[in-house]
Amino acid sequence: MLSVRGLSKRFDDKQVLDGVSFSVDKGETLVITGPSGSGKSTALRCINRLVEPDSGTILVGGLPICELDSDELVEARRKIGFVFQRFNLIERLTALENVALPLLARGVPKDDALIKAASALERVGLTADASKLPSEMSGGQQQRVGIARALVGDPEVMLWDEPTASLDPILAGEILDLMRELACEHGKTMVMVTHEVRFALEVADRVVLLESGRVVEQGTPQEVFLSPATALGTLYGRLVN
Amino acid sequence: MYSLFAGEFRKDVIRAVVVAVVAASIVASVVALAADRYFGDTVSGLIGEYGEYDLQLIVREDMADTALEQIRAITDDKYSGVRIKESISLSGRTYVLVGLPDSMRNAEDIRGFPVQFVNVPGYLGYGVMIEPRVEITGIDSPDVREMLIRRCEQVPGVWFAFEHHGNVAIVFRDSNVIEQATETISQLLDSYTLVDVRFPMSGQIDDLRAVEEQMAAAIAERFGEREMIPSSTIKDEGLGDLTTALSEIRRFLSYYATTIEITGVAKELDIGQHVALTARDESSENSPQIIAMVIDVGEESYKAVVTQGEVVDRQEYSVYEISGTTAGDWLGHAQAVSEIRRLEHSLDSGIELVDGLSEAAEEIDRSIAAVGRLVDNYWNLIASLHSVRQNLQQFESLMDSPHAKAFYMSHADQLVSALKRAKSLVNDVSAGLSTVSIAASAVPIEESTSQGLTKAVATLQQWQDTLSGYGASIDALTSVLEDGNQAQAFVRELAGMTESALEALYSLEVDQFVDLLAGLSSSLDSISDVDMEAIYSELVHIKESLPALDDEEIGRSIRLIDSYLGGQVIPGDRVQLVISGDLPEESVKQVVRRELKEQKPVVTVSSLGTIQPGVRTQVLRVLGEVRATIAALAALVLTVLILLLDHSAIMTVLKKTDARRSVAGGKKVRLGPVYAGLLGAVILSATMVGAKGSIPFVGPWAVFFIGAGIGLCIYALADRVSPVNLDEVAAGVAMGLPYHQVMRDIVIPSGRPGLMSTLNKFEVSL
Repeated sequence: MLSVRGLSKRFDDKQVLDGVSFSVDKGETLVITGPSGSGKSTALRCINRLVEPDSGTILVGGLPICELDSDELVEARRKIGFVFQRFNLIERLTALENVALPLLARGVPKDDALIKAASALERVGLTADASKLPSEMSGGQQQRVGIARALVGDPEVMLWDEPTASLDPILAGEILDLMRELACEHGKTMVMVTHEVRFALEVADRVVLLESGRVVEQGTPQEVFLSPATALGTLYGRLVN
Repeated sequence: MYSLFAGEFRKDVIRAVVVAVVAASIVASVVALAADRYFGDTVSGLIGEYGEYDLQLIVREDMADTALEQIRAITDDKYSGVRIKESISLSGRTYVLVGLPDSMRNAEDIRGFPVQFVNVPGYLGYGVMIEPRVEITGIDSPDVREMLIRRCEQVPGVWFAFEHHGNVAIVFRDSNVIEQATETISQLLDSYTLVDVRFPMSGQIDDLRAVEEQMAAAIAERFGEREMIPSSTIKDEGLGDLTTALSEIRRFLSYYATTIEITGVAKELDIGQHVALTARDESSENSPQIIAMVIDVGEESYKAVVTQGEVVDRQEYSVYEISGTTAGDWLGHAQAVSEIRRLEHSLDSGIELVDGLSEAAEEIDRSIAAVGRLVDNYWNLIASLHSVRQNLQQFESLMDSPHAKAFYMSHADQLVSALKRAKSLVNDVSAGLSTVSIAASAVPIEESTSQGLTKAVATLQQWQDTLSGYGASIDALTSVLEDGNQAQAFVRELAGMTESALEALYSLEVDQFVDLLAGLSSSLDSISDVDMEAIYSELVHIKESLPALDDEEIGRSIRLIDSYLGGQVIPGDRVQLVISGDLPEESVKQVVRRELKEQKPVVTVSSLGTIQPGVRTQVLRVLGEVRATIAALAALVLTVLILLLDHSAIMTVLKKTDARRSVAGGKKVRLGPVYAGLLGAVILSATMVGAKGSIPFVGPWAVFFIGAGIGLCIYALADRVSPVNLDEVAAGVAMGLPYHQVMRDIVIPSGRPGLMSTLNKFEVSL
């Protein structure tokens, strides 16, 4: 479903990604983890070209993402849901409007879009807060809105960029529960960037461990965390234990 | 992020810019029109509506009421239909507007009407306001003005023309013909050539008419027979006095100026050319310290004055051309002649001489006294010698008598006394003559007098010698008398000597001698009358009054005076010649300069006169400029507002995402500054055009660049004016919004409220 090969990215004089390769089959959940600054979020943002990769190939459902023109890219992005670490909600819009916006962009009539948006909010447990502005909601609620916005278009691939990093442990737990539920119930192809190693062990079908822009471990959670081949894998294995 | 401007959003931007420019143009025009209307109403209030008034009478402000009353009385009495209105008062003058009936709108009445008011208390003059009108200015000659009035009145559309304060005022039948008629009049003026010849203030033109004829003949010879109208102006008499004074000062200064005599010159030098001087043994490589200006051209030499630096009198110099700030090619040799230094030296010598003469004057005083005594002593001497001769004759006649000894003894004292007195007088006369002869050599006396004195001195010298022996004989007289034979011989000898002395004295031609002495006394008197002290103090005064200027300052002063006297500052005599035909300027100048070479004139050639619009037209023109300037300022302000309110959010996105676009050569150009600069330039230029705004001395390209500058300034401040949350932009992009939708739904709504956000409300999804 998703294939990344030889992905490289340099910001000024820093090589952030250096030949990163991994793949995810349809319905699988891939967790990318690693220390801060290892290139996890950059790798994720390259998948929908929020960040333009310098080299490498990315195939999403067979579409060569890096070779698409702007219109094709827009279409491709509609098949990829993205959940941001800092929610990235549009402040002037209500929760319902935030969720409806991707549908409106696709030409869905406004009423239909709002109904679908309400349904998406219901799925994340925010029916009562649909008319609230982001500034009127908690971080957990905002992230739920962000998840609903990513899900409303029924994407083929969901990308999660450290969705719990900006939340306190209780709210983070709620979001992880939601993510776990989504991963189990809907069978969506998901790529998650997270430091939640236990969550990865529990939910992920595959794990990619990045260090300094390179893949140092890749495999099932057990392979990566329980039988690591590298020092970093060993370190992460201890975190699981 | 260049894709932001793709497709739909580019249209949004263009639409917003067009609407903004149109709106800004309208607003700027309205503002400018409001100002124009305000000023126009103010002007109309002051000088009436267009064509409402024809003349303005000017009266003293403090007498305005009385004057206005009398003006009304006169007009009511003599001119029916004349309208009078008191207008503004400025600088102690009150303006009274006069509207004439159509029957009086002609040259004769317009010129004659104000004359009726010259006796009104406080009347100061009048001005013409009749419209539509233009005036031709810059014509000095009444004949030329008269000719132009005749010619202009034949131009279609011209109602009438008249002379007004030295100009030619031309009144049109209506405002529609102004442009065409003015063009025709302009062509008429261009069909004449005005040759203006100004002579230096210092020049004395005896007969300007002859000069006019000389010029006319020369031009006719060169360019063929033509219509020529002469006009001469004689220089102002008051200025003439000033010129005379300046000429004298120049002559005075030039006498004291250190002149440089340049000889052996390899190149021809021009009057006014500057050259560098260096001492013979000095290098020319350094910047020249002494600069001189050529003021006169001789046969094989040039005369120059120092304009910078100081030279040493009589010193030899090398002369160089001036090349930039250094000495250039060698030109020749020069010698400095400093008259002021030489005069100083002469005065010092004179003062020393006069000081010495003061002492001589005292000697002369003594000589005068000696002359007086000499004249007296002369006669006393003769009387005394007569007395001696008489005594000796008596004595001699008794020598043979037995009573001789007794007689002698009884008269010896008398004789001795007479002899001694004679001796003393001879000595005095002799000494006096010596003194006089010395003094005479120091004063200018006639040659005959001088010769007489020399002879008299020689004679008396002889007496002196004689009487010296005479005196010795008298001393021995007593012992001599003991021996009768010896005494007799001695007395006879003495008598002979006395006779000789008297003969010598008489041979002196006494009257002539007395006259001679009197003349000498007079001459000595005249010398003693000379006030040496005054001469001395005057010489010192002259020395102190010498100009305390160095060579450089004198040179500069002469040059300054020359520029005045050359007619560049003060006009001197002037000849104007109006010639039919558009003659080539340089050729005319050459002909006139060659013909009047001696008088050194300044020649200018131009077309005849300048057309000036009427006062109201000028006021309207100024108001038009004010309107345009206000429109331009409004356009500037509106451009800033448009950029701030409508485009700062877009600029923020471009700035924060560091959007770039590849250009030829693979180079990537930052889009933000290009967008901001171009937009500012386009908006300001278009608004300026739309609002018909303009700023004096600022052209369209300057406006374009000012707009670009404003755009760049706004770009620099954009993220502070309209901060845009890039997380929202990223979310929009990630959720599959096309770029224009990102701008419409996320960026523009987050910006400042403006035209762009208003128009965007029709495009936004939510």
